[in-house]
Amino acid sequence: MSHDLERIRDYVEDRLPPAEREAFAAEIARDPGLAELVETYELVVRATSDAPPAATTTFLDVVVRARAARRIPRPLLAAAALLVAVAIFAFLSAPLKRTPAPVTLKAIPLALRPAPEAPPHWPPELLTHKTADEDGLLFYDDLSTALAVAKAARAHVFLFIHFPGCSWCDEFRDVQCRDEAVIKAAEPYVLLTLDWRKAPEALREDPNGGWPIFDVLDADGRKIDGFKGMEPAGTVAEFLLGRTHPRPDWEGLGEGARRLEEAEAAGDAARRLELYRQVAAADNALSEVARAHIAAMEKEAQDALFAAREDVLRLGAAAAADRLGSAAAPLRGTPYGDDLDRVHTFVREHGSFPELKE
Amino acid sequence: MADRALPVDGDEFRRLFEEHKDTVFRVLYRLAGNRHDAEDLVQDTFVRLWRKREQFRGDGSVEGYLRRIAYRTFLNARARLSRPRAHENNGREPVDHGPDPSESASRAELRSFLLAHVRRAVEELPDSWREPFVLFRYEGMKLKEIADTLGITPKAAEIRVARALERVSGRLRELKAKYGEAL
Repeated sequence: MSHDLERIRDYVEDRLPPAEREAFAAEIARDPGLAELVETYELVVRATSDAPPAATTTFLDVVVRARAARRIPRPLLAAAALLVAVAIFAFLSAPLKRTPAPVTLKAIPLALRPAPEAPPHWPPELLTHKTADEDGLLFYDDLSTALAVAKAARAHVFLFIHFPGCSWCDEFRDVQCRDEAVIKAAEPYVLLTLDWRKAPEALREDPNGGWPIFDVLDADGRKIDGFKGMEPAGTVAEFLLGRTHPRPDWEGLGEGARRLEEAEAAGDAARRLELYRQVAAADNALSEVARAHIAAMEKEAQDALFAAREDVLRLGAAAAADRLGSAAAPLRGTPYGDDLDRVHTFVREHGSFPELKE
Repeated sequence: MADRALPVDGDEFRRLFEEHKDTVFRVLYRLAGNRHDAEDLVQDTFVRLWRKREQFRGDGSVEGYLRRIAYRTFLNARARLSRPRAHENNGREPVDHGPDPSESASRAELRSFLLAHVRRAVEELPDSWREPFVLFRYEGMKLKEIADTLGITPKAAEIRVARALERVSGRLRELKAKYGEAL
């Protein structure tokens, strides 16, 4: 077909050599379809032979066009492309900046908590309680220590009041205090002995009722029960066993006190929190102490968080970020430290305080 | 003009412009289909030529080089050109094909009527047929050259030129069927 098209054109435009032209004319005469195309092309040539209008463009037009379309140097073009890309990125990320995701707190509560009371300190040497040794029962001789231990152990105090020169008192020490039944029965008590003369007024009973004087006190030092005079070991043991009273887990308390001591010495907040949690999990008086320590840690984090929120408004995001960074450092490794770190990161990145969720 | 270097100074380039602008304009006028676009394309073509003047190796004619730039300029600009497309008349006034031939029309008038229809038929060809047909008809290109210029296969160039010619031929047959005796 290409041959035919080009030959048709060359035939019509009289560009074929004479011999070829003659042969093609014979071909046209034999082929009506070809003849129709040739006729069509002849008409096309005639119809489209009008000269087009003359160009009015001037050289000045070209110069003006060239200046208008002056090519921008490649480095400039690259810089412009980079700027456009940055602008597009900024535009696309703008909605994210306008409505950043809230920060979800995993440990710090949003409800404002009251400042916890300073948790009491329980030296382990007190709570590693031992009621007797090979010489018999062991007594504290200081009321306040005994009451403190009783409070920590939720125990009652068995008070033995003696008087100098009281032979019954000496016998009680020598005989009943070495009796196995008495030692066994005395185990749940915090044992205290006082000289009648040094005893508090409320406990200084009439000595005429008999010696020694025995009292059972609660952890606040209030007398609950008691008896006077020398009684056989069996009666003493029976008295001690026969009463309803708490039975402290001395071993657990000793271990708890040791852990609290270790926690206070630990420089690592994560380890400290772990020890407090172990003690809090045990059901004894020290659990409350451990919980108080955890609450203090939580409050410290919460205070820093809320103060940073005010800092953003009053002092700016940089001050808030500083506060959060300082508060997070000593709590690092704990969920409180993690919460502060997340808020710290947000404040640094967005220059504002995040919406907080629990 | 053949086998010479392109001018590198303004005065020589101006002379080259004056020498070739009409040729370039004719090519672009026929491809673009209207004066406005053709004038724009002429300017673009010479701007391109100026920028590419150092790339011209002198192993062909300046005119050939200029034509190739003109074709490329047209192809690059094709999507934004405003050429009125007569075959997409979209509710405007019907296209005027000249007076109807009558019994009393002279032979010259009949011929004029016929040629007006042929011209219109060429103008109304779809762009994808008209462009290779323009290169075939006015530029005298071989089908292979048309294919190279338009970035299509030689077969596609052949088919498009053939279809363009058949479309015009079909219009002629319709006219003959309608005005057979008079034409």
